[in-house]
Formats: sequence, C-alpha cells, structure tokens
Amino acid sequence: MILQLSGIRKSYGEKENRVEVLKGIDLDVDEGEFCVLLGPSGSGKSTLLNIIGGIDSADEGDIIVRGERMSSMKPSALTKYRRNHLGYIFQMYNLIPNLTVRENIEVGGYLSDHPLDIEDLLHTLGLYEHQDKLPNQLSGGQQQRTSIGRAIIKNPDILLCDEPTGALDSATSKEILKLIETVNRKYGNTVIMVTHNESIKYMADAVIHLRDGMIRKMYRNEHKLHAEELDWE
Amino acid sequence: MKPRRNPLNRRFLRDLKNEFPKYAVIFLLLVMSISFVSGFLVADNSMIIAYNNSFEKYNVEHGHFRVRTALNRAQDKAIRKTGISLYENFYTEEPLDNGSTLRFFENRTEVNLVCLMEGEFPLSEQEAAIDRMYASNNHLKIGDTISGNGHVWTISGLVALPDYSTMFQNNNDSMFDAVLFGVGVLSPEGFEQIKNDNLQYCYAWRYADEPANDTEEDHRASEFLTELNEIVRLEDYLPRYQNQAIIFTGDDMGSDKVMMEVLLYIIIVIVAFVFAITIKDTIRKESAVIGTLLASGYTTRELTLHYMTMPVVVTVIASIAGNILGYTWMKEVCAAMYYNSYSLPTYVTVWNAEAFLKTTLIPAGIMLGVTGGILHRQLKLSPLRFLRRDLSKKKNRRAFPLAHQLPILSRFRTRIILQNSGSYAVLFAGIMFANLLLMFGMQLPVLLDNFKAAIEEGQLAEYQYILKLPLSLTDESGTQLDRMKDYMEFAAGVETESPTAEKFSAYSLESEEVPGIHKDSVLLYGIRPDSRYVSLPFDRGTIFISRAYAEKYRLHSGDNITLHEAYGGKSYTLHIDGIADYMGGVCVFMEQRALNRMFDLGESGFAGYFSDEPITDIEPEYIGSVITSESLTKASRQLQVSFGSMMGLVDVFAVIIYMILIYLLSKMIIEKNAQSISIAKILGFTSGEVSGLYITSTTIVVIISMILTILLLGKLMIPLFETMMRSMVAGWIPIKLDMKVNMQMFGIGIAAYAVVAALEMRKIRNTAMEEALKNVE
Repeated sequence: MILQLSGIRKSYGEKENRVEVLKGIDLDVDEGEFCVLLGPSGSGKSTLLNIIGGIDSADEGDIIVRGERMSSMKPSALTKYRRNHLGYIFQMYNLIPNLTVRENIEVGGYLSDHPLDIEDLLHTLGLYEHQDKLPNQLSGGQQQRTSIGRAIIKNPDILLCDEPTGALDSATSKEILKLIETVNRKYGNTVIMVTHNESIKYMADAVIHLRDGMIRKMYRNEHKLHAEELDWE
Repeated sequence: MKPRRNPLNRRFLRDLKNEFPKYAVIFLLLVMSISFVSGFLVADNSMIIAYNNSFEKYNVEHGHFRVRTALNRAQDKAIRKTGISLYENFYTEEPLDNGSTLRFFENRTEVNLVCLMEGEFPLSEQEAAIDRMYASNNHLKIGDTISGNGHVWTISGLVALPDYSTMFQNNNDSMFDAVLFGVGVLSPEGFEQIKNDNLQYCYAWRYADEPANDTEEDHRASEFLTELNEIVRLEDYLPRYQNQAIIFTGDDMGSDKVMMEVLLYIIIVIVAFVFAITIKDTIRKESAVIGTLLASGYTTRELTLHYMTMPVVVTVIASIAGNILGYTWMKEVCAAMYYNSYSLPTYVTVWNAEAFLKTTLIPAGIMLGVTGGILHRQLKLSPLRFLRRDLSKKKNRRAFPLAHQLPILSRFRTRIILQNSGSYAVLFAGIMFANLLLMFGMQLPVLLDNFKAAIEEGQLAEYQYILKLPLSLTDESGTQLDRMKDYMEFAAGVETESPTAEKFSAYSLESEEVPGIHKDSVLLYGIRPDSRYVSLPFDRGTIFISRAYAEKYRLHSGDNITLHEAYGGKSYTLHIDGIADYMGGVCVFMEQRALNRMFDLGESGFAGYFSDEPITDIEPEYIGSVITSESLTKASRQLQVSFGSMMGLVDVFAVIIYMILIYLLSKMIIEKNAQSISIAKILGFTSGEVSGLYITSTTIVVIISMILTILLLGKLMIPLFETMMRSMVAGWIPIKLDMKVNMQMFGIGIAAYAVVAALEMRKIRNTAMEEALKNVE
C-alpha cells in the first residue's frame, strides 16, 4: 500500500461561517493503482487531493505515505515529500508562462536525481515540434501535455491529477487520458485523479464517489476500459 | 434625485489596505522629495527676496574704489562733481590669533548699512560686531573675545554686511572663504584705535538714480572709471555688478534652484513609471474583473478614472504633506544650508506660488499624464480580450531563443529578466539616478581632499612672497630726491639672506571672457633660467602655461592666448610653447628677462621670492602677500564648508531612493510571478530554491546596473563636474574620480539591496501554494 488515509476531516471558515468540507475520509491506495475520485462540485474531492499533495493540511486524521505519517512532517519535509514522491497535473495546466515547453518540463526534471530523458519524453508527449514555444502559443491539449511532461519527468511515485480534462474538448480529453494511462502502465506510477466526469471511472482500477465531504461509494473495476474506449457523453 | 455614487469607489480604501507597503513607500519617497524641494524653493525664494531687498533696505553701494591715500579736498570735490554720492568705507585687516583675518569697518551710517542679526552693535572701543557666518565657522558667540595684532575685542553682536554676503577677501580670489576670512564693524572710537594698522582707503559710491539695466550699469561704470582715472590714481576699482562679494550669492541661489527642480522632476518621472508598471500589473491581475465590468456596460473612461485615482490621490496628498513639511521644517534646513555658505540678512518666509505650482500641480500633472496615458492604451482592448486574459499587444509572442545546453535554472533566471525587462529598465534608471546623487555626495569631498593633497605636494615653493612697492614710488607726489631715497630703502629692505630664497618677477593680467568659464586673474611668472623651484626648458621667449590653465580653458601647446590689463585696456597675445605640470593656479611661466622686457619692469626687476622656509629678514611693510598651500586651497576648503552639510543629506537621500525603488520593483516582480512561485513550491522546490530563482535574477540586474551606472556616471560626471568647476570658481580643480569611492558606492548599493532582498525572501517564503490553485480562467 502506498497511501493510507484515515479519519480525514477538514473545514473552512469560522463560527457560523464554518463549512465542513471533509467529514472523515478513510481510504487506501495500492501502488501502481489508477484511482478516480468522483463527485460533483463542492463534494470535497479537490480538497482531499490537496491534502494528499501536502499543499493543504487536514484538521483531523492521518495520512501515511509509504509508511511515513504526513501529520508529523515539518514544511521542509513536506517539500521533500512533494519533490521525491509527487507529480501534479492541474485543470488549468499552471505552466510557468515565461518558460518554453521544454523548459517547463525541465523544471520538473531538475527536482529528480534520475529524470527521464527529455528528448524521449518530448517525442512521447508529441511536443517535440513545439518545445521552444511559450505556453500562450499552445492549444489547451498541448498545454496539458506539457503539464503532464513536467509531472512525470521525475518519474514520481504518485501522480495527482486535478480535473486534467476539465478545460478540454472530448477528443483532446481522451488524448490526455490516454497519455496518463500510458504513463501509468509504462512507469507504474500510482495515479489519483479527481474528476466530475462519470465516463472516466471506467478506466480506473478503483473508483471513489464523494458527496458532501463523505465517501458514498467505493469499488474496484473488474474490467477496465482503455481511454479511447470511453463513451464521452 | 441623489447622484449615484460609483460603487467601485469603495475599493479604494481596501486597495490602500491591501497594498499599504507599496503606497507607503511611494508616499514616503514623494513626501521626502517634495518637502525638500518645496522647502528649498521657499527658502531660496524668501532669501532671494531678502537679498534683493537688501540693496535698497541697506543702501548698498553701486561700487567702490581704493586709493593709496585719502582723497584730498580737490579730488573729493572733482569726483562728486561727476554726479555720484561718495562715502568713506575705510577698513583695516587684522590678523587674529586664531589664524584668520578680520576686515574691520567703522559701523556704517549712510551706505552698506549693517544688518544686526543677534546682540548689539559695538558701543565701546573694545567691542566688535562680527559677521554671523564667520563667527559660526570659528565657533565664536556673543560675549567671546577675539584678539590679534595687539588688540582684544569682545563680541557684542552678530551681523551681516550687505556688501559681503559672500566672503571674498579679494575679488579675484578663486573662491570665497568664510572660515579664514570675515568682516566686522567697530564703534567710531574702536575704529580710531586701529586706524594706524595699514588703513585701506576705500570709497563707496552710489549713482543718483538706479541704472535701468545691466548695459546701462556697465556703461556708467566705464564712464565713471574714465573720469576717476583723470582725477586719482586707482588701486582698485570694482563696480557692484562685478563685485563677487555682493553678486555671487544671487547668481548661486538662482542656479541651485534650477538644479533642485530638475532633481524633483527626475524623481517624479521615476515614480510615475513605477506607478505605470504597477497599473499594468493591476490590469493584468484584474483582467477578468475589467472584462466583466466592460461587458456589463462600464465605460473605458470610468475605468480609466477608477484606476488612476489612487496614484493621483497619493501624489496630491504627498504634495500637500510635502509642502507643509517644506514650509515648516525643511525650509529651516535649507535656509541653514544657505546661511552656512552666505552671510545673508534676516529673511521673512514669503508664500511662494511658484513653489506650490512646481511641487504640487506639476507632479500631479506628470502623474495624471503618465498613468492616464498608460491606462488609455491598456483599456482600449475589447472586453473579450480582458476576459481571456489576452492582453499582449503581440499575438503569439515568441520565446527568446536560449541554448538548450544552458542549465535550466540559468535559463529560468534569464527568462525572468526578459519577462520583467520594463520593470528592470525603470530599476536601472532609478539606480542611475541614486548613484548620480551618491557619486556627487561621495566623490566631491574626496575630490576636494585629493586636490588639496595634490596642491600641497605640487606647489612651486612652500612660500611665495609677493613684494609691494612703497607708496611714494607709485605716486606722483613727492620730489625726485624723495623717490630716489625711498627706492634705495626699498631695494635694501627686500634683500634677503635666506638660503632657500629665489627671486622671480610677476605680472598680473586678466584672462579673456569665455562663455561658461569663470574669469581668472592670470599671474605671469618670470623665472630665473637656473631656478631650483621651476625647472622648465626656457629658451628666449618660450612660454609655458600651467596645467590648471590648460585644462580649464582647454588649451594646448601651440595655441595662442590673449590677456588683458585689468584697468589699462592693453592686451597681450602669447603663443603657448608648452604646458607646465602645475595645478596650483591659472598662470603663465616665462624666462625672467623676457617678462621684465615685455612689461618694462627693468633688467633686474623682481616681484618676489620663492622659498621653502619663511623669510624673516625682509621689511614687513614691503611684503604684499604670501602665497602658501593654505591660500592655494581656498577654493576646495570653501567648497567643503559649503557642500559639507549637504553631502551627508544627499547620500542618505540617494540610499533611500535606491532602497525604495528596488523594494517596489522587486516586490512587483514577485507579486507578478506569485502563481509561478506557488507552482514551483508545489512541484517540490524549496523556498530557498525559489528565492534563488527570483531574487537572484533581480540581484544579477542590480549588480549589472550598479556596475554599468557607476562606469557610465564616471564618464558623465567628469564633464559635469568640470563644467561646474569651470563656471563656478576662479582657478581650477582637476576632476579625478576615486576608484575607491566607486567601490564604496558599490558596497553601499549592495548593502542596501541586501536589506531589501531579505524582505523579498520573506515574501517568497510567505507566498502560499494555494495561489496556484486559484481559478485563473
């Protein structure tokens, strides 16, 4: 098991404005698993992802990553944790606007002692021709591919994806999902993907349905579909 | 119906709260600059008014002349007949025990009336009222005693003499000297007691009516000189408009004013550009809000007004605060600066509409123009472009190509520099301006010190004794026999046994009028061919000029110079054969016999001695003056006194400007990149590594800007200082910038930057990772 969550609670605001976003989440994720957190807006899925990513903290509960308890980590240890174990993919790509495609990916690679080969990766991502372009010269799909490149160049243990297809059309979304699937298979990274798109659940190993800060349903897919087989309705 | 208030206005206070550090430092910078300039303009204007009024209030002379003996009744009558009013203005110069010289007058009752600033006029024989500035420079106060030449006086009051607002002992002096020279007045009884101490027969005159303009004054002075020459033999003739002791103050105060105004506008323009960058940054940040407001029906004009309100309000409030400070505290500081250099009468603060206009309306106008212009250009885009955050003028802006082989962090830093080139350009301009002030504040004192040291090391001789002919030999009065006898006495009285003494001839002429160059009295030395003090390869008639002369007038070997008699009108054109390596004065060297022949001084005539030791066996009455390193460094000494108090202020001001600009611009760069900083942190970069990226980029720019501006200013400052020296002082101070000072400036800059960088590192550390999670659609 790569990740264990128990009794995770999180709320925002104070007194009468206090909103409980997560109300006690228990979750185990196996190594190399493709896990989808599904739920409508406000269900707490992004908050949960940010807590797993160490960029937000839980009010209560424990997270254990590879046997290490996150609540006992100081900020510097959390940085090290993100640096050594995590790759992040955002809905809005969050590329550094003044760096080229290649440079954005290399920024990710800098953090690893053994990064993947940048040239190979650019070819894999279909970005070789665009490597010297700035993000504003790219389409949404190309930007998201760059973002994936930045996340996987350091070959992280866990790939956290926050609505990676949320801003893309269906064709491009499938292309991106295919890429994530390939990465998952090729490098064996654990993928935790937050989405509100029901179609994506069919390609996951494990599916967790969240609503109002609680896990409503959790199951494993006996027969996963490939990204290109998804019905995008 | 009540007029509707724009709800956007409610953002102003919130904006002020959120951006308090930014507005606070801009406000501070503006208040500092405006109060200083406003205070300066008010003090300058009030003092110029007091100075101009003093001509009438204290009945200042239209000129004065000096003769060897008191005018006899016939001469007096003949002079008055020319239509002028004539006043005795006799004085003696008393060498004091403190090493300085005081020129004493009998307290005046008709012309050049004395302004009593503190205490009382002298009533008894042993009392003296002395110049306020001289007293201050020599740490003397009322009740103290001064002594010299066998006399002791108690200081009864501190005064300003309107004909000595600047302490020029002689009109041809390279600079005034308010440390070793001063003036004072005595009671009639007190003056009677010192009348035998080498009394100078000086007469002041006033025309019956005020000359209408400079041309008429010049014309009248020339006419009067011609008439005087027919009546009496003159020792000195000085119309008011040429009298440095009277006019220097007015000229200098006028030129300072222009300099201060330029200084203010440079600061305002820099601040305007800081605001411009801030506004562009705000528009980028609020792009979606602006797009929404435009799409909802807000007009470009409404939004332009909205976004320019804060900069203009901050400037206007800063102007008002600056003016209040200017009229109260700063005015006193600036007036004290003038009182440090000039002996001005008491002034009354006068409301200065020009100062208000220049320190309030013009800055507000500049701010309106720059911010309005930028906003107008930026807000012309369609609402959709704002909603899409597509504000770039150039579609599909390409990346500047950087070699892939460069380490990624180097490329990252280079991209940050390229991305913020506009901010860095303003930073460069700000560093340039701050370094200009710093260079002025730090190089000038060192330059003056170095000059003093160079003069002391390179002087022709430790002492130069200039002899003075006895009165009877220059006067037509007395019999031939008397004159012969006097000459014999003189010839015997000026011979010396001193082993280091060496005779030289000398003749004084006036330099040509050259626009932008302060006129000089040129001393022509006649040197013995075997001189131990001046070793130049003299041939028959060869002429050398001092390096000081060559540098000041940009002369070279082979050029011709034309010199004029001060009062005779005769001119001499000399061919320069070489440059003598002497910086102590604007002078000419030629062989003694050649000089004696040229000016008909007789085969064995001489004017004085060079000596490395004091000469004690010459009759003191025949010694006209003694030139020592002290007299040669008068200009640098006075510049040190005049600028001394200001230099520290300029240095502090420069460092503050420097820190504020770096703080503002690097803060803006960090804020602009907050999201990238946050992403880098999420990716696993430590705060130290992120600081390394963003702070190092600014550090690189700051270091390069420091080095470039110091080098560039070094090149610019030399002609600037030279122009200043050429026009300000008689004589010449060579401009050599000290590399050590440049290094110190660099050190100060880096130290100031380190403080700001520490603040910015904290800011980077505090940039939240949630920043990256904000919706940036």
